[in-house]
Amino acid sequence: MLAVALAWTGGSLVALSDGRRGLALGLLLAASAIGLAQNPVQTAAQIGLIVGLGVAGAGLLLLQGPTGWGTLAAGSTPRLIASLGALFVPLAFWAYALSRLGGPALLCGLLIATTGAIRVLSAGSRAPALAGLALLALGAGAMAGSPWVFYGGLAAGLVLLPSPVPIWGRPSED
Amino acid sequence: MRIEAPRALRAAAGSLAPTHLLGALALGSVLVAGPGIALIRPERVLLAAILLSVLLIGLLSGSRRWALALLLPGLAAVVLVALAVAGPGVSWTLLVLLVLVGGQIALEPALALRSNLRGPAIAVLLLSVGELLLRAPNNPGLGRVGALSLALFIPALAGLAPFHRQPDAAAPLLASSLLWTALVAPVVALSLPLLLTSRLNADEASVFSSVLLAVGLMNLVVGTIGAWRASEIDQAWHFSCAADWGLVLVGLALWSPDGRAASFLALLGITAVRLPLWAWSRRPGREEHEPSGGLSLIVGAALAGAAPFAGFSARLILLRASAAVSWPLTVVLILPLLLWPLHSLRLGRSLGRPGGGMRLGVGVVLAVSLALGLLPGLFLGLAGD
Repeated sequence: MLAVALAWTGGSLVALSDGRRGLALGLLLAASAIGLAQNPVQTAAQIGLIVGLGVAGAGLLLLQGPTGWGTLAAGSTPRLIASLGALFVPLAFWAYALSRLGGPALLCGLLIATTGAIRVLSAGSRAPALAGLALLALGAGAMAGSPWVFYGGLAAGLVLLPSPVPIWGRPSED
Repeated sequence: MRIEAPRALRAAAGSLAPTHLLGALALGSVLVAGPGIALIRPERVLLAAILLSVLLIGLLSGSRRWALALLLPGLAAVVLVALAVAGPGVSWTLLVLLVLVGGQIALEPALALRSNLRGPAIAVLLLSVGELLLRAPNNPGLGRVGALSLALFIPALAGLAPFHRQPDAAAPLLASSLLWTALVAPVVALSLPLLLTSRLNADEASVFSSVLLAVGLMNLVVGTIGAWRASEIDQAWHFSCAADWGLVLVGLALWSPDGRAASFLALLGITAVRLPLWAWSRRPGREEHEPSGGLSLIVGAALAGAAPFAGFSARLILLRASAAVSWPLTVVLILPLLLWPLHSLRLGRSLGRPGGGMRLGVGVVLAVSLALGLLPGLFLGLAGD
């Protein structure tokens, strides 16, 4: 249950934050949740690696985007409602039969991917979108079961994407 | 705030010669069509069509700037799409789709976020959930929800109704909805049902088919009427492509050899004919009301699926496949097909009077469309159908 609570808290923090601290802490909590959930197909080394990559992604997020926490800023009510909704949808699945598939690890993945998608859908700038995409990668990796390390690497690597190159001769808004 | 590219990067881009680009394209072709790559034959044919389109768009647009800006990212996208479908399973496809979304943010984050990142994000979620639920042992309820998620994944990825979003006319080519609708989604849509056939039971397959059929019909109607009524030409192109996708989805939903053949031909039409024409209609400096010549009339006819162009054979085979299943379905399909020419002529005019290389490019595309229309058996044979 601790892992599930951490996954939802982390995912919601990313969904509700616009500042670099909120986004970084959210990603860190989500990666920790995946590590704590102990997917039966994972070894201790894989768990360590995924948490490490999540920490690396969170650290890199601290270096970009708006400063501060930016949590629950004006206009975030729809995201708050969606985050609460995200808690209930996977729980309903869990109550039904998800626990037979792999228990908390998959539930964490579903929660993290859902909140990541909420963040991407509501992102208006680069840093929150990348944090949402990183969450989506972590959650999809947790649900897919197989190449975890690649998904973790993607979650960390996305944050390193270079700033846009104006090859189109148009100013970037970010 | 304008973010300038590093000087070294700009210098490197400036020093790229067409020979470098052709070399990179050849490398991409080997990656896509190489004997060691685990692609099925229809996917190889589609990827070859996309490669041809990217080459045409970049090299025959008459602008070196376009060639540089389009060819390398376009080629990278083609290689990634090949990797997405050549991988060992759905998880691999998911991973590559996430990389593509990230790449699009890197190209043009503000525009990508505003318009077309949302469909792919929902698609990734739907594919993850669908794949997860299909693994549920002995649970028909979850399996059906999984099949529903997977069926909705295709329209979400392609940006079709009910996930349709207003296209951003100002977005550059590779940050626009065109990348997903006409380049990435066709290959993934073709490979996914083949990947899943062995995993869906009869119950789940019926959910998958009926959702695809409903979404396909919805896109046929919304696409043809929307393209006719659209106020902006880029919107009209997007809606028209959605209507083409409607044919694809209906063909896939019929779950028959004829249906699959019609879908494949319609997808070839999207990737080999519609993709380059749509891209050229967005070229910088083009005015919507630019005077057009006789060529635009022929392009309009090709886009309308008139005989003997590409869409005609796909429509004919689809109608035959649907008639074998249910005649009311055939009637429902015929109505939007009759509305199709209303917007196609406008799309043809949107190319204006292409000059120089682009005129040659349009000629090549029309020749490909003619070949697809006259010799569909040849292409179906190449695909192994």
